[in-house]
Amino acid sequence: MTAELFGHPAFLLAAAAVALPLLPLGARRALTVIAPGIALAVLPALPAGESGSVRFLGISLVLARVDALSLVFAFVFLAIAFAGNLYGWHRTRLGEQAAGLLYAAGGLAVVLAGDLLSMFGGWEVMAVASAFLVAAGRRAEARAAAMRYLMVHLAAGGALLIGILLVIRAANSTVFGELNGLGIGAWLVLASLCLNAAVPPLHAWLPDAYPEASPAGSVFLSAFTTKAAVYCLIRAFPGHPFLMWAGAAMAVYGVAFAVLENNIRRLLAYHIVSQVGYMVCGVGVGSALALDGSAAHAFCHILYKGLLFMGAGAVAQVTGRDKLIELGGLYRRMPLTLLLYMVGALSISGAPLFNGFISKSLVVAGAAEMKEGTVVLLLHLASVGTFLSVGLKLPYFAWFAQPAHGPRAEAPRHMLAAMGLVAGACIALGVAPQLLYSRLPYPVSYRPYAPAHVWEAVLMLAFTAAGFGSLRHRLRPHAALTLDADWFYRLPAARFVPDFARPLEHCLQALGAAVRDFADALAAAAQNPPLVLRRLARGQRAWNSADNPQARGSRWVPPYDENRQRPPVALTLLWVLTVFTALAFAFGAAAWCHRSGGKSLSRPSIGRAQRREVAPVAPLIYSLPDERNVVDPGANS
Amino acid sequence: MRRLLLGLLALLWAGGALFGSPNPPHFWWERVPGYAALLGLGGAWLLGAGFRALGERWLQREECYYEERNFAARLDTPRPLAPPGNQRPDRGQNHDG
Repeated sequence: MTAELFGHPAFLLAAAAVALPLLPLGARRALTVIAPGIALAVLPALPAGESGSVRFLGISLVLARVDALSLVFAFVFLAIAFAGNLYGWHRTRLGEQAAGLLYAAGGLAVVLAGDLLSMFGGWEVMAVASAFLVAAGRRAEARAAAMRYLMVHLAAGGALLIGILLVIRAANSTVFGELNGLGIGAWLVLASLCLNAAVPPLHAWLPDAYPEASPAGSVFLSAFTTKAAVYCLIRAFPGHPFLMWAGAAMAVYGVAFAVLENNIRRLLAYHIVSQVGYMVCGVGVGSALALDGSAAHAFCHILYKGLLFMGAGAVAQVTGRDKLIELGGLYRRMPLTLLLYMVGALSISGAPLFNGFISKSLVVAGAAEMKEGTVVLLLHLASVGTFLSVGLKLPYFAWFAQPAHGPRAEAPRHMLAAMGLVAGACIALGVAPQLLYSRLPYPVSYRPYAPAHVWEAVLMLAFTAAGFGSLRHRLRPHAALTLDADWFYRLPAARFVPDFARPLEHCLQALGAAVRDFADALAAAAQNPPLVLRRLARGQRAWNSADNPQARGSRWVPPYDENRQRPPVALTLLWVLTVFTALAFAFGAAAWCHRSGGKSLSRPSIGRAQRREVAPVAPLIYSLPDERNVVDPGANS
Repeated sequence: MRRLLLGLLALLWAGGALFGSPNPPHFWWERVPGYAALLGLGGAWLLGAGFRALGERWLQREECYYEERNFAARLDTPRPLAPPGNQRPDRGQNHDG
């Protein structure tokens, strides 16, 4: 078991994160890149099926369940951890480097977990580590957003834990499988997963927090939390009817808000909401094709969204700006960044020869196969909006729209190298879809490059571009804040929090002042214990303002002066003799008791045979082997 | 230039009308010649003009909207924990007992 544990990719990353403080900066940078690389190499060696079982509080935890579905997610998590750390090579802060590795470790723990409690553990590691990544943006807004993010995710974590415990009780099993129809617990788990997948109206934490992180932090954030939630939805709620409509709605919701956005990273964050909508919709459709589509789209989305955040982060890093109204005319300063960004933009837009084309179409084809016309139309509309915002509006207003100015100043080489790697993967998967299709949970017979499908995509993109050409003056960004669902907890909370928090704050302040007074008094008394004790013995106050007129009111006593406050020698001798006499009597009494068998002093003892047998403490949660016949999306491995 | 672009779009539409319909079609709109062009153009106008106009009217506010209204910000202002008269004198001060 120990060997299996040490070979677990999450353990490798967590161990690297723990080792980081011991290393100098150069070695730390190298380790953040090498650790995901080693884990990526180790991943195929993990034995198929369940391994790494440990018993904890009487519960059997399965830390590694390897099947087709978990492998798809684990592979891409490690790939983006590698690329993200290469992109963030310039980072110097230990906390940010360690948080990135721990966040990836938490994500891997979730997608490889074979039981619900291990999954929950990984989930909470992700929540805390990602909050650190948001706070690593270092601005006051970043810290405030990180606190909101943490509050939302801790609440979701609480709901998840309660739901999991109820599910375990209902199913009499801890196995992480399909949870449909397991009562209120399953609904709580679903609600928590929907929050983490950013399903509106539970999505506001995402566009609130992600743009505030550092450039490298945004790359990590775009990859793990929402996609781990999609993995869990595929595993636990395939075919849930609510998810199909929620996913289609969120796909359009995200693009509608992105059209209004001025901040480039917030615009991309809204497109995470939209793209995750495709995946959630695929889970809701529930057919083999749609579930494959969700897994494939998560895989591709992690790559191209990481690339887009890398491009936006490079612009922010070089120019120090991330608002479209402050950008423009960068095409001569950052042409390589533009080129690599456009690979991501065409991928997310579903252009042929890029990876978004081969994954998005699986979900749409899955919905079409089930004759869900409205859903298909909504997904097409989201696709149009994606190209409009990410493929046209953002690059136009960031790189063009204004005359070129300034000398060439590309992003640092490590950033460009990471972007180049991810862009190459996006194109390779777009050109050779079987590289991904052959690893999906169910066999795929879908042909993305059917002529009709290619024509449909090309036509839709070309006429969207035509629409943008006619609308580009209307789409010009302006400085504004767009109200979203976070309004419901940011403003009302801001009004109610003082009413509830002020009394609490006053109590805490009073308590703090009392503790401080006590510490002050103790410290002052320690300066001259004989004087304080003498005053107290005489019934006087320990602190006398006459001690020092300048320090009137303060708790201050004159320092100990051995010539004035030393007790007489005779008194000291008396104390010493008294103590020795008392000790001699105590030892004599003890010896007498020992000789007489101690009967007079000790109570009758309870013999070993008479001791009451104590029943072992019953485990709080008991697990039984899973006997339920569940549909396991990973069964194809 | 504009004519060239319009000609190219017309050519694409014609190509889509000829080869771009799935066989068999899943939905009625897939029988419309070049339906994807309509989806692209209509979708861009719906989102870029319609949604944007509604959003600007109902959802957009000044950038400092939350800061101005954030009552909780008052909680963040530092306040002294102990009354000023309760401070200890400097350690370097010479006090005679």
